[in-house]
Amino acid sequence: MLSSIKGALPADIVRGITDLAPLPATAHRLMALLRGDDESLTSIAKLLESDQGLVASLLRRANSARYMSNPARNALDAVMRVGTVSVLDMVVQEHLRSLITAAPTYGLDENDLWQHGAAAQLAARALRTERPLLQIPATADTAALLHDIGKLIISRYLKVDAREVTAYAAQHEVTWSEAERRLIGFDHTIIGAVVAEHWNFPADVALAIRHHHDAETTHDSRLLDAVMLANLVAKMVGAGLGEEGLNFGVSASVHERLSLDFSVFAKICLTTQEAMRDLVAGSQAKP
Amino acid sequence: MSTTIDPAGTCRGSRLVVGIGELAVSQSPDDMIITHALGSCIAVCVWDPQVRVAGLLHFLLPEAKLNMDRAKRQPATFADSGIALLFQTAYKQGVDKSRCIVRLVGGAEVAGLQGVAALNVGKRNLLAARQILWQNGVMVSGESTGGTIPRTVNLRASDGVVDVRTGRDMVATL
Repeated sequence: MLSSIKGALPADIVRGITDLAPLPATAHRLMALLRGDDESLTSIAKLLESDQGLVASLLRRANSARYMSNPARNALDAVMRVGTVSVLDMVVQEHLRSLITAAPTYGLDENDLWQHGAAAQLAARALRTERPLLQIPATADTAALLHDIGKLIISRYLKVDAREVTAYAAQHEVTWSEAERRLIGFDHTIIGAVVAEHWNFPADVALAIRHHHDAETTHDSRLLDAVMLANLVAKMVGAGLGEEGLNFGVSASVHERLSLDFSVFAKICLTTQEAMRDLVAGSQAKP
Repeated sequence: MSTTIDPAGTCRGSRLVVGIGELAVSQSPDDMIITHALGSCIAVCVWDPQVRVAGLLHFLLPEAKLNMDRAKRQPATFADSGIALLFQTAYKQGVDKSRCIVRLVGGAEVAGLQGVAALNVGKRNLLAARQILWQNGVMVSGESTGGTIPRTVNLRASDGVVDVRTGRDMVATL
């Protein structure tokens, strides 16, 4: 899908994508497991055990009040308790945090981009909790976490004046990503989708990242709808507003497809904001 | 000194940072009350020039009934419970509602969602704030609201002036 787009990108951008630190092997093995490939939880747990920090985080989550009272004692116990998708999310989140630097092109400091992804991930999870009958894939959480990774690449490898993009968008009354496209030839959603493909994420994750700012969509994808909404919620709770602010495209009927009215949307915003506050407080408390 | 305020707190310090669902009231002329990342949220800024008390509320959603449990735990999250708490806290510092100068900042809307009631938090917040203040006999004397821009607010406790910025640019002085 994206190979033709990739060919049109500047060499610096393509190099930036291929030079991006690869996802840990654990993430690929977890994705293989989710696809139904021949993988076992035991072998994945063994792989996790090589990362003591990750195992510690996993055990904390597995032994939190949310789960059963019998303590998880090792990585395998923890994986079985929290589920493979949650473990994948943790692995990807830790990896993203290790990559994240400021994205000055977008007016985002070192914490902003990561917090925006984390807030979107929490929002996707809250949406799936509120609307279980929609059967939104759990990989929506991962797609939401990664949906703006294209901003990292563009900030690192292109010299783009954020204020010029903002001024252009205001003058021509277009969204920020439309202004990106007109000024630099592509936007962060395209780059993000190429990164997702490079990291061997499922095709529907790359599609959701590519189209999360489409005002009109022809794709019948609950995962895409979930990422659109998750991005919206993250902005509502003030995570990663940056230069773009609220000047972004989103389908005006996404709430209908997700069967949301204002009270449920507000509930998701509240859940996300509270979880985000706890996440940020927890990350600041780490030694 | 930078201080984050819990709901319904007053604090001495030179730089008081107010987050979502929080408020601050100050009568120290050296204080600056600040809130960041106002998108669809609203900052309600009050100033009583006689007793020289400044207050700022940063709320997320219009009505406490959206989540009564949250409203009990953190009333400043919502316009109705939060504005009431802001004024109650200010009254303890000698503020008189009839003297208050009130400004509203924020309430931005997502491009393309202005007509979508189910998702338009910014517009709902703005309407809620205006209605609650009007119903309580409080006039709004200045606003920097709407559009799609994110805003940061600095409220000076020395003179009640509100500076509104987006990024590095000054948007308004209220």
